[in-house]
Amino acid sequence: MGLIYAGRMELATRYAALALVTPPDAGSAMHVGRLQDDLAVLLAEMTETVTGLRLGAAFQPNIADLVRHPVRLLRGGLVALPRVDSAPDPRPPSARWADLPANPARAAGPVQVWTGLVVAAATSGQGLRAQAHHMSGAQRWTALGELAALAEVLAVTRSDLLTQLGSGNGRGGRARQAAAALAVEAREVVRLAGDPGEPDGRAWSPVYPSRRIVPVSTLAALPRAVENAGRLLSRGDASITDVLSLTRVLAQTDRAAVAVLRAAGISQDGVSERLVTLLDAHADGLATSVTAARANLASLSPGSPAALAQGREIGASGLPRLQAAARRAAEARAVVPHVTAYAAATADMTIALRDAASRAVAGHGVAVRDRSEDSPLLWRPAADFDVAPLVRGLDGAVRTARRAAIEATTDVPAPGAERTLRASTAQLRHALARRQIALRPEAPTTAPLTAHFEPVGRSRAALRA
Amino acid sequence: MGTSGGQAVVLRPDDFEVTEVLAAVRGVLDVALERCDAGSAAALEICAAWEGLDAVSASSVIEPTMQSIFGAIVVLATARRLLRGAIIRVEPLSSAFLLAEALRHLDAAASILAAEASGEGPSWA
Repeated sequence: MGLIYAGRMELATRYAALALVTPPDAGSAMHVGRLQDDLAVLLAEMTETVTGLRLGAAFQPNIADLVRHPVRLLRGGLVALPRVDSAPDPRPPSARWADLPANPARAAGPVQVWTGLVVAAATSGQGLRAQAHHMSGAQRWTALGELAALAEVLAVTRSDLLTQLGSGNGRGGRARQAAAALAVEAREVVRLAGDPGEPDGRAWSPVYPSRRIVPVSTLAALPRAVENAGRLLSRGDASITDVLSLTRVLAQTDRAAVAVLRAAGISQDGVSERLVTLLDAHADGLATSVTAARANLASLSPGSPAALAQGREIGASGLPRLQAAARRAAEARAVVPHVTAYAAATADMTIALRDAASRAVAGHGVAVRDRSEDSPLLWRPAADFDVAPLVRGLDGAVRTARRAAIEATTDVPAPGAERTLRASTAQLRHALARRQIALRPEAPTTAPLTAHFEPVGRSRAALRA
Repeated sequence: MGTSGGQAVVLRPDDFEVTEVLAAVRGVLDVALERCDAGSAAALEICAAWEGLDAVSASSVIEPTMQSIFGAIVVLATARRLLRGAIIRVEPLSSAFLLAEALRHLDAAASILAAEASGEGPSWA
């Protein structure tokens, strides 16, 4: 990848990590807001440079569009982000960017941090324009992932800024919604950019996941199989019994993975005691939920044979391999990188399980055992509250899985098949992950995109922890 | 089917249709799940067996009475006996393989419970 672009983007990423934890005060809020507007314009141009996409007709995005046109939506979201100040700044950008620090370490205060970020983004954009036509498909995806991470920082910090400025309704409400949608769009592109299962090159609007089942002939394939299970669950046709089945498989696989890490000696290869504890807690959360619900829930809808088949493949092929590896320390040590990659992949699958459970009950596809004495029937259609304990349990497992994924990806190098991810970008992704409470949009698919973030004070504490 | 009907299936399974026997197996597994620790390895194996039953027949349940003095391991023995009888009679033959898989999960659950009773962990942990 071009040196000018790469060096400047690395700098921009470091400034972005600072920006995430350096909220403006009342005096600098509007200045920072204008710099954010500059960044939105720059990132939109850079996205266009990398992908060659031009903006289509403006439309209100919804979740289905996120699946169909993730990159186009990111480009649109950047352009559509309402400017913080309706009166345009009469000064040229060079005047706004004058207060440039020498490097991130010397940046004093939010204005300097944001100036550094905007200028680094602008210069990396120049590098990109000069070098984009020499870049391979994988390099373009890497660049796109980096741009999207910056866009996510922009969305999160814009959300904070609007809170600070007290823009709660009317035009401010629309601005907040646009920022929340941009965060979801950016995160989806970051995810795609790091996903080697997605097509390389210029296929920018792929993303209907196939019904392909990933075989687990070796433990190296286990993380991909788990990711695929999450994708298949996200297609929207999984029944409640599919959810129970895959939750059971994931709980058992977690426990076997814990056994492997313990057999390998937890100080091995940077695997922390904390990861083992988190995986164990994740397994317990899933197992308790599924054993409590199993005898009480049945499905009224046909379900997803593909998701079920992927779950069976993990249970019938991956699980025994893990259990075998846990029996001998040398074998266990050999597979630790795969188990760590597996731990990182469990978060998306757990989220998909929770969403699929919510979707099944919302779609009237769940029956619940009617255990009342006077009931003429054994089953009745389930209401939300019947499935609430299961969804609550899965929700808790999602939180644990996110922490485990952060733990699993902090110290361990990415597998060779994964697209390049710069260390500073990875750190930024972890910082962003800590801010997210609920980034995944809610069903149904026509709902508007939205996101929720931790307040900035708590995220700063998390970053320092 | 009432509790007395449920008892009849458990006592004389060959007098009933395979689907009724499988419904009784579900009822016995329900009791076994109640008598296992929530979220335990054995309970997960019982859930896996339940999935096998769902692949063969619709999720009806016949609730038999199981004396509360019997622990999960004894209750599971009843489920395994019923399931073994169903495997011999089930049509089409391809369903027998699914039920055999469910039986393997019940055997695994019984092994785990037996190991726990004698103070051992699972063999692979």
